[in-house]
Formats: sequence, C-alpha cells, structure tokens
Amino acid sequence: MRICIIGGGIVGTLIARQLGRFDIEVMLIEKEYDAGLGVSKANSAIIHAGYDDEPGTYRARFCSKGNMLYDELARQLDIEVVRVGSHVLAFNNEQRNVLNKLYQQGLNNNIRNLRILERDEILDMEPNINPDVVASLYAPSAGITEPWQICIAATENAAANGVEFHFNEEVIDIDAQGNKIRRVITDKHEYQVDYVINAAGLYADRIANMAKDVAIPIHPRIGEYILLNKFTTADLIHSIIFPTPSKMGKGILVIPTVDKGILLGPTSSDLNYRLKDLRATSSEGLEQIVENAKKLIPGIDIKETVKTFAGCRPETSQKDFYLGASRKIYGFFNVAGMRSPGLTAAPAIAQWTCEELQKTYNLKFNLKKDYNPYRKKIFHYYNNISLEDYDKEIQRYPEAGRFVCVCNKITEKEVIEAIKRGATTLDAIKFRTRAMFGECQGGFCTHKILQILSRELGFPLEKIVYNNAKSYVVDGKVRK
Amino acid sequence: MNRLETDILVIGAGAAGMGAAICAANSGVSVIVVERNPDAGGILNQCIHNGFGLHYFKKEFTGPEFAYQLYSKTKESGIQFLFNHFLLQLDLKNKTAIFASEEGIKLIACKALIYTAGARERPFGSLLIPGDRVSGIFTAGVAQRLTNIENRLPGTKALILGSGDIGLIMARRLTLEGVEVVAVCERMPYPGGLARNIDQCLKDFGIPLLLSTTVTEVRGDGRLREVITSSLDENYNIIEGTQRSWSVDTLVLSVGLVPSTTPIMDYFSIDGKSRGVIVDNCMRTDKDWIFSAGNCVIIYDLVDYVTYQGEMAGRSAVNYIKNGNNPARYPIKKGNGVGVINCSYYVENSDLELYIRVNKPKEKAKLVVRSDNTIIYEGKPSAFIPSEMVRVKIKAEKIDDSFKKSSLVTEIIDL
Amino acid sequence: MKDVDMVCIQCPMGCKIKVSLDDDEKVTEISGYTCKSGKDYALQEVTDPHRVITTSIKVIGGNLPLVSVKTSKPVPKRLVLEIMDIIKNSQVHAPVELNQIIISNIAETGSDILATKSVEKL
Repeated sequence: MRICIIGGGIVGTLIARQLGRFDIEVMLIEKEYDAGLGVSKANSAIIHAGYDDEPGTYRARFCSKGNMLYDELARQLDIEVVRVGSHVLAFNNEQRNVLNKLYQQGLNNNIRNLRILERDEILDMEPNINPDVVASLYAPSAGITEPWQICIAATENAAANGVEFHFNEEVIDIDAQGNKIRRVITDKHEYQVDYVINAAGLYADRIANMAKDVAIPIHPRIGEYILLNKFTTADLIHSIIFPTPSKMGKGILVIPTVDKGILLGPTSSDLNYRLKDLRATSSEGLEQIVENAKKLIPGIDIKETVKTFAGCRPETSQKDFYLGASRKIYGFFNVAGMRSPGLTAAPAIAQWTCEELQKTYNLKFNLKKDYNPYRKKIFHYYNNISLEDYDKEIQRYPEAGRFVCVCNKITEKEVIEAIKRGATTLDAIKFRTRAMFGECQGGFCTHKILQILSRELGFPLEKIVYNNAKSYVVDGKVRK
Repeated sequence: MNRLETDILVIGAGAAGMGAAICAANSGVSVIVVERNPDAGGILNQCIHNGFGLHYFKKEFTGPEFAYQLYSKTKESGIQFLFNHFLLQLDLKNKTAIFASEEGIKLIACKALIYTAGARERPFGSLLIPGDRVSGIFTAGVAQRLTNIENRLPGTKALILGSGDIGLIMARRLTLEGVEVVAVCERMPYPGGLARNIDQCLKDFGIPLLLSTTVTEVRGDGRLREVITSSLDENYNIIEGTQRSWSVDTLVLSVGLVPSTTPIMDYFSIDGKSRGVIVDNCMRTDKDWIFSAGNCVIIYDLVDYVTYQGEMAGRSAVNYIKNGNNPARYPIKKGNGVGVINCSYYVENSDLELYIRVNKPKEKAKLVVRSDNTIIYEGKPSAFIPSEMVRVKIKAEKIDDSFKKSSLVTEIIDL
Repeated sequence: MKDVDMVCIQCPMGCKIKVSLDDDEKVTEISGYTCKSGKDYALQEVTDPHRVITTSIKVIGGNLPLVSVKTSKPVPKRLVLEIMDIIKNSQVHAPVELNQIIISNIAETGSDILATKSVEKL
C-alpha cells in the first residue's frame, strides 16, 4: 500500500510527518524546489486563538485544537512558537458589540481565556496602540511562528522517518480508472499508488480535476505585506493587533514576527482563478496597508520597510476548509481550501487525516518501532552559546567562526548545514538560516552565499537560482 | 580563548579605520585593527575606478591603489591587523571587545575604541516598489562586487535607479563590459553624483539621465523582464500617463547608503533618523573612551574626507589615553539649508573641521558658521548641490566663546 | 557656432569650463578655468577627448580571477572600444604585482595597462 501526498506546504508536510509514524509507504510530491514555498510562505504567520470561526465549521473545529497542539510541535520539531497574545481593537460602540460577539463565539468554541479589556488596560499593555481605542478582545493563546520553518522541519523529520520526498517534480496527471486511484503521473515519473492526499494548496482544484473528482471551487485571494526593520521597530508592539473584523476578513494587522520585526498586512483581493501564480504587490495594496496599519499603531514609520511581498490564499466559496475522502473517487482524499486559519489548524488536520483515512478505508496503521518525533534545527551560534563553549566549537569546526551574514550574524557552518539538509537555492538558504533576511537584505552576503553554494554543490555560479528554475542570479563571466 | 590587550582598538580596516590607526600609531601607542573581511580597504577594494586621493595624496588613484597606499603606511607603523574577525559584543564595563574567527574567540581589552565600520546600501525592499518577486535586482554595490571581484556580470540589459556616484560608476562599468544600460533614472530633479561622473559615465556613452523619474513597477517570471518608470511632479507624486516600459533583465539600485551602526546601537548613541553615530568634532561618541569616524557617522562623498576624519578619531583617542581629558562640548546646530553635518557637538578650544551637505541645490549662496550670533566663518558666494560636500576648517582662536550661551550654528544663506 | 560645457577633472575643484567653437570647430573662447591644467584639459576635450580606462584583466592561476587595471595615462576616447577589445582578450599569469605593466603601449597610444592591485599565486 502506498500513500501519495501532493503538495509540500504546511498541511502536506505535517500530514507526511503524521503518516511517517506508521509502518506504511508514504511519498510526497512538490513542484517547487523546496517545502513551504506556496501559500505557506507568504502569510501572517499567526496561530489564531479561535474566536473568529463560526461553530460548526471545520475552521472552528480544527483551529482551537490546532492551536493547542503547537507547543508540543514546537518542542518536537525545534521550531519557534511564541505566545504573544492578540488584541482585536474597537474604536466605537458598534465595534465593541462585534468584540462581544467574538467573545461569545470564542466561548462556544471552548476558548475560555478571552477577555474584554478597556482602554487604560490596553494602553498599559501596549502603549503604542492608537489612544482612540475604546476596548479590545484579548486572547492570550494567540501566537506567532515561522510557517516555512515548520514545513522544512516537518519535511526533515518525516524524511528521517522514512517518508520519500520528491521536490522539483510536478504532478501532471492522475490515473483513476474505474473511479479508483491507481497511479500518479509527474513530469519525471509514474508511481503506482493507492491513496492520494490532495494538499496542493492553490492548485488543489487542478489536482481534483486530474483525478476526475468533483470540482473544488478554489480561487486565489491575494494578500500583500510590508516587513519593517527589526532593529528599529522592536519595541513598537509585543502582541498581534487586529482591527475589528469585517465581511472581507480579519483586516490589515500589525504583527510582531518571531525574528523580532514587524509585519503589516495583509490586504485581501479576490483574483480570477487563472491568476494563482500571482505574487505581485501593487501600489494600491501597499498604500492600503500603510493607511490601515497606522490607524491601529500611529507610530509606524514606513521608512523602516526592508521588504514587501504578496501571497495568495486558496479561498473557497463556502469560506471553509474542503476536507475528506472523495465520495466519487476511491482513495482520493482532499485537504484543500486551507485559507485562514489554515496554519493554525494544520497540526490538528494532520492528526484527523490520519484517523479519517483509516476509518474511511478500513485500514489499520501500525506505529513504527523506531519512530522519532524529534528534529533539531540548524544551530544558530550568535548569542546562543557561552563564549567558552563557542571557542571549543570553533576549534572543532572552524567554519563556525567564519561569519557570512553580517546583519543576522550567520556563520558559514550554518549555511553549509542548510546545504547538507537540501538547500540548493538562495531562498532555501535564506529560509533555513535567516541569512539575507536582515536589514541589508543580502547586500553584504549574497556574493559569499553564491560562492559557498557553488563550492559545496559543484555548480558554476551561473546555475544558482533565487528560488525557481527561471530565477538565475548572475549572467556569465566578465572575462571568460 | 585568546585575550589580547592594546592601547587602541580599531573596528573596521577601511579608509577611516586605517587613517585612525596610522595617526594613533605615529604617536607611539599600540594599535590593533580588526576587520571582518580577509583584507584591508573595505569598499575601496571593489571600487576599481579612478578619482580617489586628489586631496589626500594630491594624486588620482583607483580604489585599490588608495587602499594599498594607506595599508603600506600601516605596515610601516607596526599596526597589528586581525582579518576575518567578526564583532560579537562589547563589554563596556571592562572596555573589551569580543570577536569570533576561525581561530576561536578573542577578547581584546583596550584603553580607547575607534569604531569605523562604514555603511550598508539601502535595499530594494525599502523602496516599496510594487511588482513581481524576481531575481535580477541588485544594489549597485553588489553588482560592483560581482563584476569586479567575482568575475560575473549581473545581466545583459540594465536600468539603473539612482544617479548617485555608485550608480553612475556602474553605468559606465557595465557598458564597457557589454551590458546595455538603457537609462539612469533619478527621482530628484537634480543628479545625485559628482558632475564629473555625469560627464564621464553617462554623457560619454550616450546613456540618458532621466530626472524626476522613478521605477514604479517591476515585472518578470522568476527573472526580471520589465521595469516600468514614471515621472514625478515637484511633490514627488507620480504624474499619470507618464509610464514607460523598459525591457531589461537587470535593475541596479543606487538609492542611498545607511551608516552600519546596528551592531553597536545598544552601546553608544546613534542618531535615530540617520542611523549615524553621534560624535563631536573630535569624533568622540557619548562614551569618553569610544570614538567613531567615516561612513558610519555620516555618508561622505570623498574617501579623502573619510581618511581625514579617521585621523581625527585617532588623534582624539591618543589624546584621551595620554591626557584622560573629557572637555566640555556644546551643540552644533543645523540651520537653514544644511542637510547633513559631520558632528553634533563642538569641543571647546579645539579646531573645527566641518563637512556639510546642503539639503537642496542652491544657485548662489554662502555658508556661514556662527558662534551663537557672532559669525566665525563666512564662505565665498557659490553654487551648492547636495551631492558635493563642503569642507570648512576653522581654527580654535577664530571661534568666539558665545557658543557657550547656546550653540554653534551652521547655515546656508541664499544670495 | 556652439558652446561646449564641461567639468574639469584635473583637481577636486571641478571648475565649470565653457568652450566656444566656430563653424570650423576652431576654438574662439574658453572661460571658467582657474589654472593652466584646466585650460589644457578643456582644449583637449574639444579637439580629441582623452579618458583613463579602469577595468579588469583575466588572471591565470591567481587567488582572484581578475586583476583591476588602469591605463597609465589618458587615451583617446575614440579608441576606448578598441582598447577594451584588446583587454577582453588578454590575460596575465599570477603572481601580479601592483603597477606591473600588463600590456605595453596599448593600441599605439603610448599608454600602458597597469595592474592597480596585486594578485597572489594560488
């Protein structure tokens, strides 16, 4: 029996890890060079408390459960989850009423630690919030994380436990003859599989079409973001700041990042389904972010921007996850439409998928004897090791004393470790080590990282790409 | 772990650092210079073009030659260099700096510290230019490093945003290497670099300079494919209908330098807006034993000036070690028309060496320096542009005491 | 009749010099210079402009792939592309010393191509 997961985002990789606990054959196919480069890469990175979701929806069901699973996940996968808490701000009585409704909805979703705070208490906690605030809904269990770290960590752990990963390979067809899953065909190979888990994010509808399953109504919803310099904005806010939500969604937020920067966004624009590959920011979008973020935190200085980016979420017409075994195609299992709170729900969905697969198809998975749920991240030396220990470490590994990234203080050893763990592109190094992620955005270290990649992988510099096959960095020699 | 001791510790072996070290060593104190790169010279090593040293050496050198001239002088003075060493932290209480290198951890104790770590480039992300996330966008320094040291071209067809010197130099460099430079765009209504560079880098090659123009969108699929520019009005707002599309695979940005002070911002004071170290005219910071000079204080236009200011820091550090003094200092204010000035305080009884940038071009004006209301310097009527610094030296005897009542003031008077 | 404006590069003063030419391209007036060097430069600029070229030459067997070079004196602007072609097809073996003459009398200009940094042997 072989299970094939299509899509290496947060949902796909966590399912892979979950299934990797069992004595079964599991494979994951991802069309990008690396895990987590789709929806999972460009989002608000928030672990939601769960008051935002209507009881009875999949969102409500899996959000609060997922939220609770994150501490253990963080411990096992050595990723960062910080419970910073969140405020939904109300600036008038009408908005205060919405807060009360959310509070009630939270109770209905079994979230018992929410509080409604008044102005003085809010400004005590967060002095930089707009002083016109009248009330807030405070959720201490809201948190922040780095979604691409989770994808990378889950991939490493799942692979260590025997899951087979295929990156840079795209599924182009599915053989479901007789309405039963038989084969998955990619641009490189064919695989005989029995079960397909459709975790293909923005392209889940394409995958469903290939399997001749019922059409999934997914359209992309683009969200733009602005990232502010962590060195200059560190103390602006400590928790996530939301405006009162509207029909369009949670609104434009001010979010502290795990890296101690501040993220502003997202905007929210529904796009035609043909524009799934769009990752472009727009002047209107960026202006909208600045305008709305300043309503929440007037002290935001847009001159501190280091980067802008955009990501798409897979929105469905029912605004809920699209989950479960297909009733038409035997062996085809959908985990699609993972829009907000998809990140939060992912660990709970991974567990549920495991159980649901066994239930639906009458399977019994047996735990692997040597399953190891633990994975250690690449050790970051700066400020994380005593000077004496660091000195000893450098005697063993001189590359631990050679610094590559000046802004985030990343050593050559960390870059080499990332390459050992599968990084072949600049983005892959960036997301595994935080090199090029700092205030100079690669100004000082890009040429060094190109050289290290070239040396370790044996590629000429011209072959190194930013993140996909078309994104070459340098063009050729000056003198041949 | 290695422990070293020295009289003066210099962080950064660029022009300012070497200037400081040479000056200090010539007074007989021991000097260690620590540098994170494998060699001395800093950014000069990749600036293979001419134009360095006309003031300092009375000769024209290329960047590497200027760096070599200074480095040779350091070798004559017995200054110790530690290359490939990275600053981890400062221990202010024990006047010790802690570095990492492939040899291990080194603690260097000193009597005075000179921080000369230069500047970084403003990145593309900070410009908030909308568009696709593509490769092919380089800051000018990175394009220069790739072309001149790594032996790699950034692309085949380029547009340059920013007419600062680095952008102009790269326009010429890339053109000579066969890259088609389609235009240099500048958002201001006047060019950002030295006039000689406009002539020799753009006019010589027929590269158009488009003033009051900026990049408003980048497009591409994986790699850059197209850049959209638009014209700006006098308030820097986009003028509708002025979009122009350029088919290029490379965008080079020369949009400003920022002092590299984040590593020390918790140890001594920096200016919140400019990010430069706050110093007095003797290059002393808010800690009596710490001095700073060069591009980490303000962005200079000539390396000669950076070297002079490094020397000032060296002299002051030696003075501090030998005499332990901590003289009173008084504010220097930026009056009308002054955009950037190299120091924020005046140390009483000292000679004053000022480097000033006007905040906008002036056809005819004069620079005036006042001690409270008493004029202590009045420059010749002249034209001023922000990209060319003005250097003023005023002897201590000429500086009236009135500044003690309020401050020294620098201002540009329109004529 | 035409006026040519230029910035003198002989020293940091950067005097703005204006040269007026008649229809036969003969100089009728020069103004704005403050020394002989500047006047000479301006005259040269309008008759046969010269430039210093700074670029790189390929290094064989060195710890760097390129050595930065310059022309020992300004060369005629009209020969820049020809000179660049010669340079692009040249190479030098490491070690290279600062000021080493890599190409003598390039394109018969009387100018040499000198190394502006040293490169060690690998």
